[in-house]
Amino acid sequence: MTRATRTSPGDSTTPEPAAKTGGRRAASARVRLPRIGGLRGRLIVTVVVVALISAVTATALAYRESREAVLKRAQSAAVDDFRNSVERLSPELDVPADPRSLARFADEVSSGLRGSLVVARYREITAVSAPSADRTRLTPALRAAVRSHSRVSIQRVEQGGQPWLALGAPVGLDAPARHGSAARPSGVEVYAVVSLAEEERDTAELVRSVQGGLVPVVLLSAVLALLAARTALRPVRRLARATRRLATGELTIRVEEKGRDELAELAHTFNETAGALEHSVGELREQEALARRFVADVSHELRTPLAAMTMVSSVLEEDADQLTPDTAHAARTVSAETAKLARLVDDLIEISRFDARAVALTVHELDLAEAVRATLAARGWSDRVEADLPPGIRARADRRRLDVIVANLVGNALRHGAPPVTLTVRAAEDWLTVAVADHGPGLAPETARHVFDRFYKADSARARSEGSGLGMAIALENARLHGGTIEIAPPAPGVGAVFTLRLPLRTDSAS
Amino acid sequence: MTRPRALAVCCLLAVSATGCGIRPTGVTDGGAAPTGISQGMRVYFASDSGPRGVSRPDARITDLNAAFKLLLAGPTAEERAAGLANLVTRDQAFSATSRRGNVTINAPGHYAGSPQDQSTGQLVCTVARAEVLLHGTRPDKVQVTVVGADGRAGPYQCQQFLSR
Repeated sequence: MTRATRTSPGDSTTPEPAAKTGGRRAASARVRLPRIGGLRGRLIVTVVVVALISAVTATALAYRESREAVLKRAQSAAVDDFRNSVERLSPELDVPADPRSLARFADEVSSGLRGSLVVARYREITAVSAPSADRTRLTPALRAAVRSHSRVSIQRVEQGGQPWLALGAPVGLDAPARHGSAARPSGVEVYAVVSLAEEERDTAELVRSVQGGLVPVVLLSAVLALLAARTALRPVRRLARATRRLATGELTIRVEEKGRDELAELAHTFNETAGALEHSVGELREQEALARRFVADVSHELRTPLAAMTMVSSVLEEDADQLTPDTAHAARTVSAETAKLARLVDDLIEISRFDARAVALTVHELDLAEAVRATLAARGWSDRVEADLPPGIRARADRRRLDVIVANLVGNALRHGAPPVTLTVRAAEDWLTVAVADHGPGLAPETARHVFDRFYKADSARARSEGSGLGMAIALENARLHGGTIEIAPPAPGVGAVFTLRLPLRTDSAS
Repeated sequence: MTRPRALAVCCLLAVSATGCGIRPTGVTDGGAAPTGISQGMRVYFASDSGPRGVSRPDARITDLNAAFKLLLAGPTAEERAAGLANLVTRDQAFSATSRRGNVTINAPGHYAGSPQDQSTGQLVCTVARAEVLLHGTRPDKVQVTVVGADGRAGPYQCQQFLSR
């Protein structure tokens, strides 16, 4: 997502197909390298973890159950074998027993129990089927249980990393036929140690098969998560792309509303929002266009009466010397104000044409020093401005508009700054710079920010200064039309306001 | 659930599933204890694996000679089915005497063979058992001498016939 956002400023100015391929490129990069932090990564991790937990839990439970079953069967089989073996052989045993018969007994019981270790005890006599065998597998707890209970006692022990089942029982008197009644103790105790290695091998085999099954489960769940992430992420990506295009002003963009889920709801909301935005932006544009047309119309309507008024007032002014002083003053005032009004209306018309994008450059090859000098001379500023005009700088530009820009910059410096006003023209590489500096107090930051606004007056007390308040705005529009700018130098001590016009040396006629 | 915790749970489960093989336990009950050591009379019959004793808990014997009667009565149908047989021939005038654990069997028509001979084992073990019951001698102290058609044999102990 971050990547996509980062590429969006580039996409915003590029036309539609480029934006599309950009989005696809970002998407393919995400597919190749699913990030853990992203929605896709989170989904995959969650699904895999859930699959792991459920698989491991299920197999753990099944493993435990089957292990218990295996052990239970093995144990009860061992107990049955043990009891049968002892009962079959005990009729031949005499009590009090002698070591030889006890040893024979132990041997025979052992051979009946797959050759397990058998220990037979009678009082202080102990007979072992395999004398070298380790008898520590018969724990003291088991011996104590056998001594105190006339039951078969069993215990699982581990020795040498191997599981063993230790059994022990006192052998009762009486015949096997009389099972029901409690047997009288004979004093003979028999112990046997049976290996459970086979059962452990079986259960270990089970675990191995489970472990082998876990890897496919994890892979499968990851694939499923990827698929799920795709279905969830594709609409999200589409929505993000649509939002980006909406932000670049493509208000007609809509996304597909598919299905009935939350994403479809989100898409629906997006479409509604885009629709509302399109509607209100359309209304605003309409109103703006109306307002501009109104200004243009009013200016045009004012032009004809103003022309008449200018004519009348100039006649009056010419004849002022023959009028009474009061009337002469009135005539001069009317003439001045009419001239100002005429200039304002001209400026308004000019601005309106800029707003309506109805302006075109008329580009000529011109000598810059000569053009600037002409501008200053036409307005009678030649001796009020220190112009540094290196000869031989030639540029392609609209002479009339360049004149407007320079006249506005110099006029502004003369009106609001303090003399001396300097004008410097330089050309470097492909750019032309015209710097106009005065030695006034300079511009306050607040003023510098608004100096190109329409009808902005730096000194509000001088509301009725000579300018129309549109001059700088028009100058900037003209500079932009050439593909250039007007910059304000940052305030520095000892220097007043410095406006620098930067124009390309070669402006193409088509703007 | 945060990722580390989930992983920890997974590891725990995996360890609990794979880590435990067969755990040791305490002492548990395994059912009724075996019985079968008989204090009563026991008669020995021949089997594939040498003489084997079967108990005759209801038999009351008053002297050693009564043991011959039990022996000659032969195995029960059940014992025969289990592979027991009587190799001691019937019409012989058996008699036995004992003195401090030393038993002498008079068997005029019996040919006492080696200790591998099962019929001799039958006689020796059955009479020795009767001696134990009648006089309270320790089983390993009983010595049996057989006086048969081919002279004296022994003294034997029952164990000699049982352990092959």
